[in-house]
Amino acid sequence: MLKVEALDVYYGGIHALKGISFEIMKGQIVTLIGSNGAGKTTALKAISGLISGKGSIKYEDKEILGSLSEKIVAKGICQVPEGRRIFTALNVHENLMMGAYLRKDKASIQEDLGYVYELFPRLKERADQMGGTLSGGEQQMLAIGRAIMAKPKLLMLDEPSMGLAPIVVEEIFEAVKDLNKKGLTVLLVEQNANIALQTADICYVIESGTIAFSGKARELLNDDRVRKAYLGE
Amino acid sequence: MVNLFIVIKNLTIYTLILFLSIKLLSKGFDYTAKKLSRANKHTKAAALFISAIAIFAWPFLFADYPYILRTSIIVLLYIVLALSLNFVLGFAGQLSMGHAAFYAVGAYTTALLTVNLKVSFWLAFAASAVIAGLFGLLLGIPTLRLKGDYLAITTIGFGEILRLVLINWTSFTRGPAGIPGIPSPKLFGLTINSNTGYFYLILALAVFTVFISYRLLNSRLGRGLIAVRDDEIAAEAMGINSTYLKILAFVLGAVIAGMAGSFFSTFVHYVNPDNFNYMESVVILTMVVLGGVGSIPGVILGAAVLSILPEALRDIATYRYAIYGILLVMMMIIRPQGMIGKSSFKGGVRHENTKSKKNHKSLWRAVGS
Repeated sequence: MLKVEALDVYYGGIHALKGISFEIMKGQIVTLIGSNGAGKTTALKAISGLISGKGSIKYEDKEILGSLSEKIVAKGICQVPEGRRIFTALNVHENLMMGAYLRKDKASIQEDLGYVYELFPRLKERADQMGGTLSGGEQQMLAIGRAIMAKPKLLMLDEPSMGLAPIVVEEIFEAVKDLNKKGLTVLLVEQNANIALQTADICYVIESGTIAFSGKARELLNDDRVRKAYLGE
Repeated sequence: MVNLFIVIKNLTIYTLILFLSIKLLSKGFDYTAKKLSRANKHTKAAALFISAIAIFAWPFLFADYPYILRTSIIVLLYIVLALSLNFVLGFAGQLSMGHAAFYAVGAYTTALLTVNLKVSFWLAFAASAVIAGLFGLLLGIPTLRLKGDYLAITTIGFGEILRLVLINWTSFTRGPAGIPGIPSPKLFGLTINSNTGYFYLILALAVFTVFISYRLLNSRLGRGLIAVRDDEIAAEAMGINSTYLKILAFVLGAVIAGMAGSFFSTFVHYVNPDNFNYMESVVILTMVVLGGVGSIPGVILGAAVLSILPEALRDIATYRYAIYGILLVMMMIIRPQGMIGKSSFKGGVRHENTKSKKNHKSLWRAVGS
């Protein structure tokens, strides 16, 4: 579905991604794990067209590297940005409707809105509340809900567990699994390797701008290199 | 030395008065805003109806006081100008410091067309709007990729260049001498040359601007603009073309400033480059900030207060600008969100899902805490 090949990204003089390649198949949950500054978020930003780079990013066999971000969203790739980035001056309902900004099909927008409220009932309770007054977990739910409203085929999540209580993290990853079961392909960037590996099918480990190794997530859970470096054992 | 003492004493007294009035008025505004947001539809409609009647009857109440009428016209003119800047600053969150340039483009377009080519005012009015909009587009496309300070500097530069062109291109604009003899508009064979006529003309423009402001704010584009102002990266991740939206707001602001300029030139019958200097841009900007950036009632009030204040303080002429300055400093310290901030009315954004009472209460609790 998405194929990244030899992707190079520079921030001024800093070589942030050094020719990384990875692939996502339809219906999978793929995770990128790695420490701070490894280049995980940079890879996501390059896919969503928020930064430019060299190499190739093919989505459904079409080159998307260098396209405008709005074109990429329209193609069905939607990102939940790191730190949630809720629109604080809009209420929950309006935030969700911003996700459907590029869509014109009113009936199916309403349907998806119903689905988001079903997935996260707490958002429904707070539909009139301003985005900025929500708790961290609710903001993360809202950010995911907002992305779902764009009706993506590929959902990219950037550190959804950041700064959240373990019980909320579980709730959110349950929702991600639920979305995946409904046919959504997910690219997950995480520092919390444990929960990422438990959720994902395929895992790529990024270390300072390159893919160190990759494999089936279940297998990497028992891999010594991963256990040492990312699971703290 | 004695003089200095008196000056300091007077300034201290004025400062104290200003401090107390800002405090009191702030409480008053917050209370009214809260009451109004909670009031039911009928109360709101009644309040709107009464103020509409008062405004329409205004020229008849003060028909014998041309000074009051002319001041009211200037107030309305600045309301239009401040609201036009609010599209850029309040909705799109872009600091434009050269707004008077678009005002000048509108005024000069009308002046040149009606005086040199004897075009009717209404045609010149439309042309002013279009040409000011074109200038907005030409300036917006290259500059709106810039942010904050950089945009402020480019817009200051644009304003200054335009003013210098108006001064130095004497064969076209008559330079510092200005263009006199701009005719009054004619409507159905009647010439609008009374204060009352001008009052209704600018009132129509002001009502139109307020209407467009609310219409935009409650539309998909308006929410897109708020999203861009709130968090540009998140907005782009949602597929919102932020550059396009910012240019749209910029052009809209320029078009309305151009209309205000067109009105100004026919109202005063004379334009010269000094009407559109850098201070004019600053005054418009100050009105928006003092009233409350992005809040439509706030901007209206800010424009009204800052255009009435210099008139009201004529009796203590010496202290006029000192008080103006102190007011701005104090406002920014005591009430940085402006007289009627966005939060008091929530920016006038209508909430679509406010049917359930329970949600409403929890919302207020959340806002109050």
